[in-house]
Amino acid sequence: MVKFHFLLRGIILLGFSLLMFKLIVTGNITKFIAPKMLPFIYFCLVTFFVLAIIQLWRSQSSSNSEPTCDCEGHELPKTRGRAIFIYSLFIFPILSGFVFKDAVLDSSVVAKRGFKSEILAASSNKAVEVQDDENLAERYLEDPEAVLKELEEEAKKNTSTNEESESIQGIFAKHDEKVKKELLEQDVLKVTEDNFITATRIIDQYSDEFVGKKIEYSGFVYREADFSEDQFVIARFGISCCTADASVYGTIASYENAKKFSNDEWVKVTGTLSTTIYHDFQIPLIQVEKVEKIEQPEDPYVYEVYEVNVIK
Amino acid sequence: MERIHNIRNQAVAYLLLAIFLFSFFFIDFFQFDEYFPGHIKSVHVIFLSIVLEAIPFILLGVFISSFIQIFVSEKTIQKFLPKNPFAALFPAAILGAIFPVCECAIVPIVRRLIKKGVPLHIGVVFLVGAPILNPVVFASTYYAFQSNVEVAFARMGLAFILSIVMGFVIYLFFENRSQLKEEYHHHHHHHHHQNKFMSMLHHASDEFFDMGKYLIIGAFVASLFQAYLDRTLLINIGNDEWLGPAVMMAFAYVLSLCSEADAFVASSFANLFSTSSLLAFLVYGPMIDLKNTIMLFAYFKKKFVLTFLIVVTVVVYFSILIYQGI
Repeated sequence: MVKFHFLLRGIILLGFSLLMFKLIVTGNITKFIAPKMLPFIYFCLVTFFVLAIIQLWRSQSSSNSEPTCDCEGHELPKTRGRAIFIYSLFIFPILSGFVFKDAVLDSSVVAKRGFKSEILAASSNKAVEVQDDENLAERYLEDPEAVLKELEEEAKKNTSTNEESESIQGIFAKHDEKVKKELLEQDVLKVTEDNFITATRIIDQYSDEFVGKKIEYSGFVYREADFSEDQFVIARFGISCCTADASVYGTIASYENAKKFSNDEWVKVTGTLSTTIYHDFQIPLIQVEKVEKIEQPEDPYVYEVYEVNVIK
Repeated sequence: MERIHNIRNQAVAYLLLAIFLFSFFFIDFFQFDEYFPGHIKSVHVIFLSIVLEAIPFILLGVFISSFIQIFVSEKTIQKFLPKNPFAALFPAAILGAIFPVCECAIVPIVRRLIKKGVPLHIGVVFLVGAPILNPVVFASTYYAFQSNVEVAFARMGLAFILSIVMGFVIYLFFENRSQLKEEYHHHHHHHHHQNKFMSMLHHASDEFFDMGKYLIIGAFVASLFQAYLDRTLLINIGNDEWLGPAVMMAFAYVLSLCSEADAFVASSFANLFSTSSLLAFLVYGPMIDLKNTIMLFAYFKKKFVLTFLIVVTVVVYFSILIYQGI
């Protein structure tokens, strides 16, 4: 009976190695895990394969010794029902992994994470701030000196914290400045897999300076409920380790026949950058001149990289 | 009767193998996946992705724990451990910072250390401290919060201090009473001829099956939250100084992210929540989350896991409030 468990475990471990092997060979592994984590998957594949062989061998060995390891605490499932449940837990991800071999995150996930949720938040913050300002004005009328003193102290506090982190922020700012210059120098700003996150961030941040710039941008189509009919976002997921930490990056585009493109369709647009106001904030907008449907790229996600060299 | 039973079992096992091999070679000719809507596929992507990401680290943890089991004796541990339970807290936190392990790997390691005679509260210091206090986590937090470097330093500082505080509180509750589950005692008479390396490999696979089931359940529940929890609902709560940290902690708990990646998720909330709420997320998540709670139940008594959960929650929440006040 014990041997049956080893046999089954060996087969399950083999199943995991087969799944990982197939994901690696087909390249689909990067739809689950960021490339920088791949060495760990290789390690896992080899280990599982070795463990599978050992388990299978253990299940066939003819010696009478109970071949468990010498540490207490491992228990085999006690009842039949329990065994079926526990082994099903392991078998499920293997089979589902084979069946949904190239599924990717889609716009239903974007909807739950929110496009530019920081803007929504900032605009609700703004309402609070305005209220604060009104309070301040009222108090100023009552006791002008105290309020002035308060403001002065606050200003002092702000400058002192700024100084501390200035050196580091300065380096990052310089880097951004350099990238911005490079992007502006291109005749047509090409946003590709490699620079998607950085380029999108810089265009967001300096939207004014990019007005009138020709741009080529690709991603999948996504819409928020409050978009007008001619608007959609061209988005991609950014991953740092695995899809659980995915966040959405993208830029709003405006196009007459936007309706022709449904959510999750991959497009490449060419257009001119301008700006628009979304929830009281200025954000970049691509005035689309040409849209092309494209195949979903091999690597549908873009990956966060630590730009450690920036710090040096 | 027994023989028929065995044959049936064998048949089931080989059928499973056949299904795996069939899937490996031929499943691409069938398009089973087309029958499922996009959001189900997204749940699956997140689920499998958490499982695939966690397994290598659990294996690493299992190997380190096997290594400790076989090569580190109780005597060595006793020699280095200060006699006074409170004096041991501080060096434990420093050791936690040197151990470069993440939250998935730490559970089997801590369990093994406790078995080897490390007091429970010292194990707790490792359990909560080690996943945050390591260079990779610092680097990713620093990078994700370039514009607010305070976050990375505060995260490390809080993790260091709080791990000591939690170890202290856990000692007050449990002293040195063992909180590991009651164990089965196998017969020990056949093992002398097995070599150490083989027994380490046997041990690793047994431990993977012990722990893996909890990982898979945890990953599944977390992936449901990941796919269906509407994050935009959090926007209106974000500014509340009492509610903000609590919500972010709950959020960190259900998402069950890896401590090396959670900073990027936190930074996507940078404008939604105050710095202290983000810190609550970054400090609480690696110390305890849904996936880890379920894994802890595998090894520790229920009462301990629940007490641990409450202690970690209360300590993190109130220290964040204090941090907010400063």
